Amino acid sequence: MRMLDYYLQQATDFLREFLLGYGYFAMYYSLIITFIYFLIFGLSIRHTYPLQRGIKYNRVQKLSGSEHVPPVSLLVPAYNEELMIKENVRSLLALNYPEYEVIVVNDGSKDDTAKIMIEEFQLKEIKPFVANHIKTEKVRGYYHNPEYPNLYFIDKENGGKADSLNAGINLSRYPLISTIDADSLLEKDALTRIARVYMENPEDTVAVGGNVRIVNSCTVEDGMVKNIRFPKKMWPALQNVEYIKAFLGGRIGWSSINGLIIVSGAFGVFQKDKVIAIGGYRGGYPGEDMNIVIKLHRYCLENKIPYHVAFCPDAVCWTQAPDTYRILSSQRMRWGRGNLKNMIEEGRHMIFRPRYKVFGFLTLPYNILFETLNPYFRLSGLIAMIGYWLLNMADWKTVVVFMLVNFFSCFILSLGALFIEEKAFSRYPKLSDLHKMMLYSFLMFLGYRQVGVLWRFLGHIDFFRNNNSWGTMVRTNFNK
Amino acid sequence: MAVVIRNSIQEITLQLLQFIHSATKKSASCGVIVAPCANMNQKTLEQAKMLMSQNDASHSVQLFYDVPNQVLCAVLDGGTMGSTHYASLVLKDFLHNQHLLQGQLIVSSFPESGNPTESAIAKFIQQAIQSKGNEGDIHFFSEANAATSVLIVDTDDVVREFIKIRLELKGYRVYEAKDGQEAYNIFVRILPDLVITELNLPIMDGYQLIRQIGRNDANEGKVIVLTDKQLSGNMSRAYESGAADYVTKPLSISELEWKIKRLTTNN
Repeated sequence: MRMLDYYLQQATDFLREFLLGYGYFAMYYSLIITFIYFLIFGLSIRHTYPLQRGIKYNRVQKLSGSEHVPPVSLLVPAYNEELMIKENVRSLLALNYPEYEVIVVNDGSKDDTAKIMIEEFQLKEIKPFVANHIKTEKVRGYYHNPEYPNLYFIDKENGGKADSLNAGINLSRYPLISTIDADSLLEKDALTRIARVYMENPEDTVAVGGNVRIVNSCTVEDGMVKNIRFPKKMWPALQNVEYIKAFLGGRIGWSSINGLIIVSGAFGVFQKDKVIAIGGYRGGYPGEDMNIVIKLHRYCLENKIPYHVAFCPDAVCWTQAPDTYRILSSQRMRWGRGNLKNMIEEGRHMIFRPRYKVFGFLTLPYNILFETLNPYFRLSGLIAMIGYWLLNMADWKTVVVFMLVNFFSCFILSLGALFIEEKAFSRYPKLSDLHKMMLYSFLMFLGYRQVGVLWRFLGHIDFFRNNNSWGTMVRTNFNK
Repeated sequence: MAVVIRNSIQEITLQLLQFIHSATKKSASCGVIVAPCANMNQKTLEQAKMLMSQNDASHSVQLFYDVPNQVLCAVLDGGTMGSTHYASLVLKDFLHNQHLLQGQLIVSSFPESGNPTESAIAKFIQQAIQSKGNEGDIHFFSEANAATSVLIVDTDDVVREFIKIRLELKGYRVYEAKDGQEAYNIFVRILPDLVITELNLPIMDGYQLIRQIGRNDANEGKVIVLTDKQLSGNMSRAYESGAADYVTKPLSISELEWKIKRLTTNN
């Protein structure tokens, strides 16, 4: 009996020791992550002013017709987009940009996407000269109509989004490519604004990302977002705040130290020859937008090419956010899977290696430790909490203070991102929208972030079970 | 406010057009009198009709009063310029005595003084409305001395409004459209003398619009392109499609006005 008591004592002592150690680790973990958050945010704030000046004094109107702007090929992969494709292509054909072509790639849709495109624009099959930089699925045909000289349509077997982009790259004629989701709306001058960023340093800028905003609850007319409103439904509203925080509070800062790890698949511009040099887009898995940027970093750093991955917050692409739990969760699980895949495939080889500079020492550690592995630390933290409680180790005051500090530091960052939004861009005209944004910034911490962590974890589980489906995204027409 | 006025003018224009068309179907010509009047009611309308029929039994007369614009319209079947002028004298006296007349009576006869197109009729009514507060005399309307109509097509509200205000001050009648399709629909209905268009338009782009207009009628609708695009390729394509002139933004409004003047005066 005594013996048992003794062992139990030993075990609990060990557990206490272990939990204490874990507590220290968790504390440092939170400290470091908060420090990085603030560092990036500080950089974002610092770079908001020059950005603002650039936006204020640039002559977008003038540029949009100028011959000095580099020509761009827009690649629009479309899979089962019969509802929207007509309007979207029409609005893409009416961008304010001097010289560009729109290449719509039908990725073996199961609906009438191809038929609608061919009928609407009276396209005829052509036999163009197509480069074969990158291998793709079999192309069924290339279509064109001289009435729309800068519209091309590729009809091909299903091979995924990356494969469609590669097929588009093979056909494109211009040195810059821009990837655009078929379900998003580009603002008329978005391409010109991105081009301006590129023109400031055309040699080194290998990629420029655009800003993604959420179109839910805004009114859309003739492919233009007319009056901008904060989303009315809960899920899109939460995502809106999240996007603003990630894009304005995060990406501006990351791009200023050239550590940007992602250019949104919804809207970004790349140098075509660099994309071809790294073998085009990686197919067969989500997260191809992050993958291409990581590979660009890797290629340029390994070959000692001076480069910069820029972010252009005033070039806006409007996208429909999922507005139900089911669709949103499948999207986030997909992101989680893609993220993990990229980190295992590429990140592993680059982290903490001097040749990868900022990317290897800050971007990747941040992404792997605080983004990819976040769910595990959260879960273990929760279990540890229960352990502290069972072993009467927890001093509740300390725990509460720690949680509050953590919460407020994150909340301050959210408000800071809103500050950047209002100061530099101020897209939401109504004051009530600003109040809503503040409210939702607060509400984000009551469940939404936790659920986000859970989705990422479920995504990882999917990854290890080799479930490689794209998930569903049910589209609705833009509210007319 | 301006929008409201334009729409109500459109309504009365269409109404009058219907009357004219049915009248010209019956007999070869028809006379029209338009006069701005205050608060006519059914009774005074009847009285006016009686009086005019008594004076001239050879033509049947139709009268209607448009409340939003406060305009009285009279349509005479088979009315020539002469007979319509005579009828307008009778009507003028009557309106004077009843203290109803608020401006000038505008008299016209179709097809003598032009084709009854929608734009012509709209100009006709516009002239009557603008005469409010003037001396109550009789004026003749003919298409030749009417204001030139211009259609501005641009997605940018500011550009449209700016040009519209400038041109209206110069005495042009201005219509607006936001996209190529809308512009073409308006063009077919109004047949304006001149179209000023941007090339970047949703639904139907500028080149297609110019080509459609060219197909529609070779004599009508000259097109000036007003655009941001400064590439020579765009200019070539615009001229190829059938544009008469090419102006780039940022625009000099006086340059544009002279180009409009030059294109519309050799009609």
